[in-house]
Amino acid sequence: MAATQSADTVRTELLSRVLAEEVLDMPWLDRSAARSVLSAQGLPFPGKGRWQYSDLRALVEDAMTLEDAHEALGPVQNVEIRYLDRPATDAQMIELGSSDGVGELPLIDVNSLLFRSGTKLLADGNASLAAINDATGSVDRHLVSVVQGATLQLDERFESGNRVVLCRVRDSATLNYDLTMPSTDGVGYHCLVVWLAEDSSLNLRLASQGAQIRRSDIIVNVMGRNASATLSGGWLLENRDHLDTQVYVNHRIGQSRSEQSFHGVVDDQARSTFSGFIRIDRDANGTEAHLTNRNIALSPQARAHAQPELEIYTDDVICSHGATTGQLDDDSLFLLRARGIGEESARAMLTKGFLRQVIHSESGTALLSL
Amino acid sequence: MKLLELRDLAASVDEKQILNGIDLTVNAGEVHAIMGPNGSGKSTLSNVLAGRDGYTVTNGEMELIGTPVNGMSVEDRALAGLFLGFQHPIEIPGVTNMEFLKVAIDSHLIASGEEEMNTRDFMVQVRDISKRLELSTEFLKRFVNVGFSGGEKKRNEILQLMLLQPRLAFLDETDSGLDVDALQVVARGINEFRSDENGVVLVTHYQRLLNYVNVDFVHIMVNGAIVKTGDAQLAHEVEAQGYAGLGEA
Repeated sequence: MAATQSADTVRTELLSRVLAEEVLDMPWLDRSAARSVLSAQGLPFPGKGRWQYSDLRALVEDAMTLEDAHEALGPVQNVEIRYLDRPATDAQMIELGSSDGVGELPLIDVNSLLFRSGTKLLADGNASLAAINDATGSVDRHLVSVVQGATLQLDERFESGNRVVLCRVRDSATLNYDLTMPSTDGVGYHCLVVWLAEDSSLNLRLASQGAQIRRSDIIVNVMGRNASATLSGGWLLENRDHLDTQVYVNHRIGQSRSEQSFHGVVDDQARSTFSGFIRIDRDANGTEAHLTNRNIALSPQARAHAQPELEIYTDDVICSHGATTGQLDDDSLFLLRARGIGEESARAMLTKGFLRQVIHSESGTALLSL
Repeated sequence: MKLLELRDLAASVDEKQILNGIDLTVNAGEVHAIMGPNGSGKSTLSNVLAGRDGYTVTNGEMELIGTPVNGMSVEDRALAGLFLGFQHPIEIPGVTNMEFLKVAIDSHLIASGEEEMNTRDFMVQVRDISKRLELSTEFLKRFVNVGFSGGEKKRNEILQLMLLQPRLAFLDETDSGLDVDALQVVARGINEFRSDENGVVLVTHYQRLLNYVNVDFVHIMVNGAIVKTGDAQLAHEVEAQGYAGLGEA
């Protein structure tokens, strides 16, 4: 009988291949930290824990095969843009390779080790950026800084590949982030990490379709008082689409606020996972954090897993979370049909209505044809 | 012309028999009221007529403008001319009232072999009806019934009635939860709607709506059957004596 490879063997073998990968050598990039973290901690176990619903091996292998596919951005008012593949001084670019403070997310370290293209964006006024990288299918890394008091509107489109975007939102700054992920047959890992300083705010609006494998990690670290994070979004998966969305909101300090609302629709044999994690530290008194995730399965073969988690280390908080998975509401369907609207149209209207409640960006509305 | 004919109609919900042999004929130009205590089967009758899932006809006939409707889908009954007014109009977040009304009217037009209504004509018509029902046109942009007061929800039902112009309006406790002002607006809408071409059935618990809408027939429903039929005077008797006094009749 042929023995199936154990998760441990897969993990070890995969790690040694990642570490042996020939990385693009750029003197101003220090990849050694990522290398030592990976060597010491290893990759997660495929098929377990946070990797229960996404094929870790496929995502890591994909990252090892991708080529550089970077497209330069045009000049943008109030944004300083630096590219990894152009000459830069150590001081300007070194931060790009750093994953300090990201926490235990090994796929970020894989990206740190392998990324071949990247940008560093500095917004120091009111600015609007239509893309981070228009190219698809690369391993890339981006660092976004919104300086004190500045406001940046950022639109990002991600299809496949391996991308990590690190955003630092300084005191009293605002980051409005519209992230759309169109349908693709490919494989993709996307990770967005945001640090919020005092009085700063993040408004993230996510809209996604499905992929063969798509894992999207969103990490928000609330580091300053009066900071607020509003995360909303939705997805519509069809055929055999897959989407695994994991959101971590870490309240490091009190008097801060976060609100998450995500709606997902799965049809045919599609699979979605949503894991929403809120952590409130011991010193984060006066935090208010809310999370809702609602899912609708349109077909009996479709699956939507929802997993909200709270970790609270102080009493003085207002916190709520809830997740549901169900079908379209019978009463609503009856009302529409009783007005002569055919069942199929009625279902389509209700599905769109369900997503419209959480899709607020123009790009998201267009992507999901709402 | 017969718009609705129920002959010995019996129906069950979850295998529990609720309607026990109802006979009712509504002709064009007539307004009927069906009155009865809670639990008499009034709402079940509305749902059975509309073809809602879970309501099973166990005996009898049900014809809408000469066509048997048992077995027809909910939407086909609506397209054939039936309008069910809801006792509790539900909220549909994410679907605007405008979109809902437009798709509804277009479904009716397409079913009768016509073209979709052009948006400008639609807007003119909807604005006109809204004005008559004292509804701000702002509410057209809002999600269906979301954040509407009880009165606004019912006026929204009457708006749908006036827009869709069905042959038979079966209004299930449209008067419940309305204050006097809203009741008058709703009654005005029903009075504007009624004509020699259509029929109206008002299902109601109380007589007060009948102060504003003249009815030709009043039926008293008890335990899933119509136990007494009369003219508008009967409603006043109910008000004076209660259903208990009439149930034995």
